[in-house]
Order: sequence, then structure tokens, then C-alpha cells
Amino acid sequence: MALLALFLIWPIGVSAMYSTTSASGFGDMEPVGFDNYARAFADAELYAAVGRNILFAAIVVVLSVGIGFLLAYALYLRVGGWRALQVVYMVPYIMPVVVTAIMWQFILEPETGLLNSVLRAAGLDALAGPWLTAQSTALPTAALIQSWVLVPFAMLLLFGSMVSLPAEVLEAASLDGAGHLTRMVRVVLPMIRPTLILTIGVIALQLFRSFDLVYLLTKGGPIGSTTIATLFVFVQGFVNNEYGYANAVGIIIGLALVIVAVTPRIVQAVRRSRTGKATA
Amino acid sequence: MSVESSLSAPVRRREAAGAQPRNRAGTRARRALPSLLAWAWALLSLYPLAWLVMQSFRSDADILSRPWGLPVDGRLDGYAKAFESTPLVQYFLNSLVVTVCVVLVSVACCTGAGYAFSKLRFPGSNTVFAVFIGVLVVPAPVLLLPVFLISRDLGILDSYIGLIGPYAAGVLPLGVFLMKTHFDSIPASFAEAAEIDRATPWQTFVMVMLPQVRPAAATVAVLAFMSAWNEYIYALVAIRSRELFTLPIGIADLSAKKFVYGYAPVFAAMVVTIIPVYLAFLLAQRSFLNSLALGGGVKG
Repeated sequence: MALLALFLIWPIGVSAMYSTTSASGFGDMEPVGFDNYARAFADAELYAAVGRNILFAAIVVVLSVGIGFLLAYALYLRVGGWRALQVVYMVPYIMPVVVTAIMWQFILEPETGLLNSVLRAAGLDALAGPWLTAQSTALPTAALIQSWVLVPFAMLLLFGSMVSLPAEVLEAASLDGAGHLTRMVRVVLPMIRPTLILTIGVIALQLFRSFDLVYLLTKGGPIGSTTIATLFVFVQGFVNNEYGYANAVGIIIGLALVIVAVTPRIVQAVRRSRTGKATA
Repeated sequence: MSVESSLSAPVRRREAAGAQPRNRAGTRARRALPSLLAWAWALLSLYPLAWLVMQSFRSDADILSRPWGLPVDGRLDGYAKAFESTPLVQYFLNSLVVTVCVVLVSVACCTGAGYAFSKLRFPGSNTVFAVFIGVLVVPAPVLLLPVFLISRDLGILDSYIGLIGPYAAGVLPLGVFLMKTHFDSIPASFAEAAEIDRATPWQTFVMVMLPQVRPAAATVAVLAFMSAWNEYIYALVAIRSRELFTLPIGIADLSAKKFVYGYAPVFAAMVVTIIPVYLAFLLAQRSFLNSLALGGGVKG
């Protein structure tokens, strides 16, 4: 408990305090009130970073939850070797992020990388490109790699909720002649909806909380094209040494996340209490 | 539960009309597509890892000229050079010390706190638990900076403790949540039976409760192992001295110098880094997969 207080809760207070100063790590710390917050709300770069973060998160959520769902369903159907598959799928999720990043950098290296070599050998020279080093493709490429890492996580949660479904329902649907697609879309999907929403929420939050993979892959470049919101905070704090400003931006993002995460619950609670009153 | 009854009825009515005659052979054919998909993704998950390991046994010239080829002669040059050009053993030991401490501390804390939140009612217990879970939402950089500043003020930057503390704290929210759900699933009758047998609360905890949550504790241990062994960003900012480098910052450093030392050592160092974490996962994979899948089921 003390550990939690020391390294998780106390920091938030310290962060709030620093956010109202001009601290730069060199001892020149002046209280500046809410100047840092005013600056943040007027910072075009920050808006761009948040926009990139939203695009990045959208790609990753759609891909990882989409593919994760299909794989979970395949395992649920007990395709041959499903137990082994379950373990194999975890490989990207468990790989240390540094290794993932360096490995993909080698694979995607423009001249000698695995992917481009294979593409050229297949006569698809036009497709071979500087994936991570071109402004237009860097962010989508990073999103693909992030999805590769998170598919297993989505798969695991969704598979868990499928396994706990009552078998009779699916048998009934199958006896009635419902095909694969019908059963998947009309029976399984609605039944695991709560877990689906939870999975989407957890992954989306994750993508607004961490930035290590993107940082390792591109350092936010080329020309800032992959500087997502959290990476922006990191750069302000540890590269530009603007502790005060970085803390202010961090707190704004944190508050925004809490609001986004909590709002649906409140709406739900309000709705529930209303319908409760209506029936009573 | 109400979902299923309201759903199956309309589905049944709609589908009942058309499709009576479907033979058994259809079942296998209908599984072909999911199988194909499932195995294709398995290949996509596994191939990069296999490729990584293959590259570590090749020479730089081969790595550059034929990136997809098999190792021709299984060279160990990469490994020799990796251990020679960097203090890889030192990095490995640093990572090991930090990780083992984080695993011990977080398993102990999560078990204790999970039990407290689940079975002991104290004033404000729900509020404290909510705060616990709420911390999960806070963005990493928001914590990164102040934790760095606090550690600096405490004078524990650039030390083992300076990594162990924040890492262990980072495991707590999810870990405590997992342990609490598992303690919740133990029926109250167990504790009552122990009480009738005149067990002290401590005995009840150690002899009745702990054995039941072993799989969850294993899961927390793997989570803690993974997060501590793999962590990069915080180690990057908190550790300055080369002799305290953990493996992730060590290999990032080595990779940045690939034009000096060559490519093969980078691959070799990466293989050395991933072996322990995959071993830890394989040892605990059954309870790990089950607990996390159960998490999805419970919440779903």
C-alpha cells in the first residue's frame, strides 16, 4: 500500500504541483500559475499529436480486436491444434518491446530488410518502400506493428468470454441450420458484447497511456509524423527539459482519459436509475 | 443470461425454414476457413521470432545480402562478439536482480492486498479499491516524470531500488484486481470451517486461502516478470551508469552501434534477452492463460 502511495498516487500530486511552475530541471523553478495550461490549449503541435494518437488508436483497435475476435472464434470452434495455437499466439505479446521494435526495424529496413527483399524478389518493386522512414507511411506502419503485439491480448479476453457461453444456445442455433457466419455474427457476437466493449476500452486506453513501441520504432519522426500525444509529453519533459509544461500536458491528457473512461458508466447508471424508477 | 433467451428465439424462427438437409461432411469443410486463418496467423506470430533466431547464427554479409535465407553454417560469431563488445552478462544480471525482486514484492503485496479487499471489510475499503483501479487509467508519461522527480529527491535514481519500487508499484493495480477476483471466488464456508476448527485468522489465510489462489499468484508473477524484464522507457531515464544497465537499454544501445559492432551481435543479444521471458511464460502458461481468460469471462 505504501508502495502504491509512494510511486503511483503521490506522483500525481507532485505532477500537479510542477505543472504550475516553470521547472526545467536546472533549479530555476518559478510559480507561473496556469500559464502552462493556457500554453497547452493554444499549442497547435499538441492538437496535431492528439489527432495522430486518435488515428493510431483507431487503426490498432479495429485491427487487433477484429483479428482477435476471428482468432478467438476459430479457437472456440476447436480447430486442429487449438491448444498449441493459443500458446503460439502469445509470442508477440510477450516479446520485450525493445526486441519487437529492433526486429521490425530490421524487417522493414528499406534497402536490405526482409520485407522489401521479398517484395523485390517477387517482382513487386513498386510496393517496396521506406516503411518507417517515410512521413506518409510511418504512422500506419507503427500501428500495424502495435496491432501485431495486441492481437493476442484481445484474442485471450474474447476467447475467455466465449468459453463461458452456454453450449446449448449454439447447439440450438446449429440444429436450426444456422451456418458459421450466422452463428458468429448473430449468436456469439451479441452474447459477448460486454467483453467486446471492455476489450476495446482497455486497448484504446492502453494506446493513450504508453508510447514505448512508437518511440523505439521512430523516435516520433520523421518530422514529427509519429509523435503521438504521450510521446509529445515525453519529448517535452525529457528531451526539451520543460518539466512544468510536460506535467501540465500530462495532466490534461490524464483528466481527458478519466472523463472518457467514466462518462459511459455515469450515463449507464443514470439510465438504470431512471428505468428502475419507471418500473417501480 | 437474459441475453441468450431473448436471442435464440428469433434466430431459431428465422433459420428454421430453410436449412434442414445438411450432412456431416459439411462440418469439416466448414472448419477449413477458420483453420486456415488460425494457422496463417500462427505463422505470422511465430515467423518473425524464428527469423530473429536464425539471423543470430549468421554472418553480417549473409544478413545483409540474403535476409530470408537459412543459416548456412550456424555461426556463433554474433554471440561471441555480443559478449565481447558489451557487458552483456552484467546487463543480464542487472535485469535478473531487478526482475526477481519485483516478482517477489508484487506477489506478496498483491496477495495481501487482494485478500484484504476481498475478505476483510474495513471502513472505506471500496473507495480505496476504486482508487486502486482508477490508477490504471493514468497515462504513463504523467507518472514517468513525477516518479523520476521523486526518485531524484529520494536519491534512488540510478540504483536497483529506483527501478524495483516503481516497477512493483506498476504491477499492483492489475495484480490486486486479479487476486481479489480469485479470493472472491472462494466460498465463505471455507473460512467458517477453519474458524470452527479454531484456526487463527493468520492460519486461515496461510493454510486455507493461499493454496487456493496459487494459479492467480502464478499469473501475477508472470505479469510482474514480463513488465520488469521488458520495461524500457523508465530504465532509460532512471539509469545513467553503464554497469547498472538492464538488458532492454543494453540492447537498444548495442543496436544504435550496429555500424560499429555489426548486425549479428544485435540479433544474438536479442535472443539472449527473450529466452528468460519465454521460459517464464512457458512454465506458467496454463494458469496464465486461464486466469486472464477468466478475467474476460468474469467481467463479460
